[in-house]
Amino acid sequence: MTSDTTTDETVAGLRSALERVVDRVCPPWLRDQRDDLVQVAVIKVLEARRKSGEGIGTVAASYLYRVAHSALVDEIRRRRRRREVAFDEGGDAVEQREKVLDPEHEATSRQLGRAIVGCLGGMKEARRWAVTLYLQGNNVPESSRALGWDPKRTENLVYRGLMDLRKCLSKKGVRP
Amino acid sequence: MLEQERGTAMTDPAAGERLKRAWQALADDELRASRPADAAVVDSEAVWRVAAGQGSAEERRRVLDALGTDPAIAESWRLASELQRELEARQDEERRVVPFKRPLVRRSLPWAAAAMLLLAVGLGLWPSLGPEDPTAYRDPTSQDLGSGVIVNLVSESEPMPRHDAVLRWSFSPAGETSGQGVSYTVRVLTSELEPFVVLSELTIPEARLPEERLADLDDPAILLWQVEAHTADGRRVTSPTFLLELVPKSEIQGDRQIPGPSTAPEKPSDAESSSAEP
Repeated sequence: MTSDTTTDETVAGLRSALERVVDRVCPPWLRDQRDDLVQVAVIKVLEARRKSGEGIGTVAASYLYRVAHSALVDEIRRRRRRREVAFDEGGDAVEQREKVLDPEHEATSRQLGRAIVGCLGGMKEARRWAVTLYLQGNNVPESSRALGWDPKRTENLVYRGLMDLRKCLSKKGVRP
Repeated sequence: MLEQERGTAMTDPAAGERLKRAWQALADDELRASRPADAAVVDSEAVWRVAAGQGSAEERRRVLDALGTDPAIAESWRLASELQRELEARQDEERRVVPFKRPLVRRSLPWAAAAMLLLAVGLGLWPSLGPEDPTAYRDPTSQDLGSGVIVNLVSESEPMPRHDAVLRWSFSPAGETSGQGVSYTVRVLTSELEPFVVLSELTIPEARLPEERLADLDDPAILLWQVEAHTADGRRVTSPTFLLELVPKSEIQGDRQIPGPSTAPEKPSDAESSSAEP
């Protein structure tokens, strides 16, 4: 972040970013609570900035985004626990389960997912990590950064890992 | 690796997307079943660091192992990845266009910036507060400039004493409406967005916060407040959300005592509502 960027602009941009991220990552029942989730995270960012002693001028955007991530994760976990309790208690507290519009497709997807878990468990560590990051939606540069390996090595491991995964899935009789 | 092999592995984008969707949609119980019993606990800070390429080798191992077996860590990772992409996009944008920007005036300090943020964000406190009506927090609040403007007269950069916390604002009604016959309602939330107090039927643009309740707030004591003005002709004007910081408990002077329950309450001023609600 440049030293000329003001903190309030960064926080305003962060709020928009959080909204987009929640929309992309969270399941529907959490997306419905997006504004509340984001508001709690923004409040925590403001408090953290104050505690850091940075009152004037700029605050590193990377710091604000990191704090926002922690706050968002904590709030999502809190709401998940509350939802689990509601399911356990039953009665009027139980939310409607999300409608499965296509049960057959849902079943196929779950079967594929379970098969993937089984195949990953049998992979060598480096390929397992590379493929897991691929499945998480990370591209090669991002995976390379997270793994601490050079991009070429990472790319090869993703390719080889996916080859292994395809073979393993085929043996299980599952086609992606 | 042969190019042909590479092509087979990677040039079927549809298959790749199906794999990703199937993986990301795995139910929690299915993932947890594959998690080793002695798996290390991983926190969100560690996930952020590893996703950013900043973790130690040991931390990287713990996070990456957990990624494949812990749905909470997998979700935390995706949130971190997406946020880091947003951050990079923002930083790229700033590098492209960097005219010199005059920093905020020193006097404004962070709380004025926070108020600006909340103005832009539009935290809605209307029509009612409380967990029964969470939509109240989501309705965007932008001043209806056609009906009037409410301006905060309290400094957001100077903490206010808990024994003398008075909110003040100005209201400029639009059009031919005069300021006569205007009443106000002030709603106050904690920084956790929990209702703190509602003061209604105020006839002047001023509200004193209950001292005994302020004394109970833990540090850092930050409150959010919003004003609704009711004009004589039936219009309602809602302010943006303002921010109020209170003097930390540790800084309260020893000789200044905050009245406890046994102390007779002060005679209410005109600014205090007869219908104050906790």
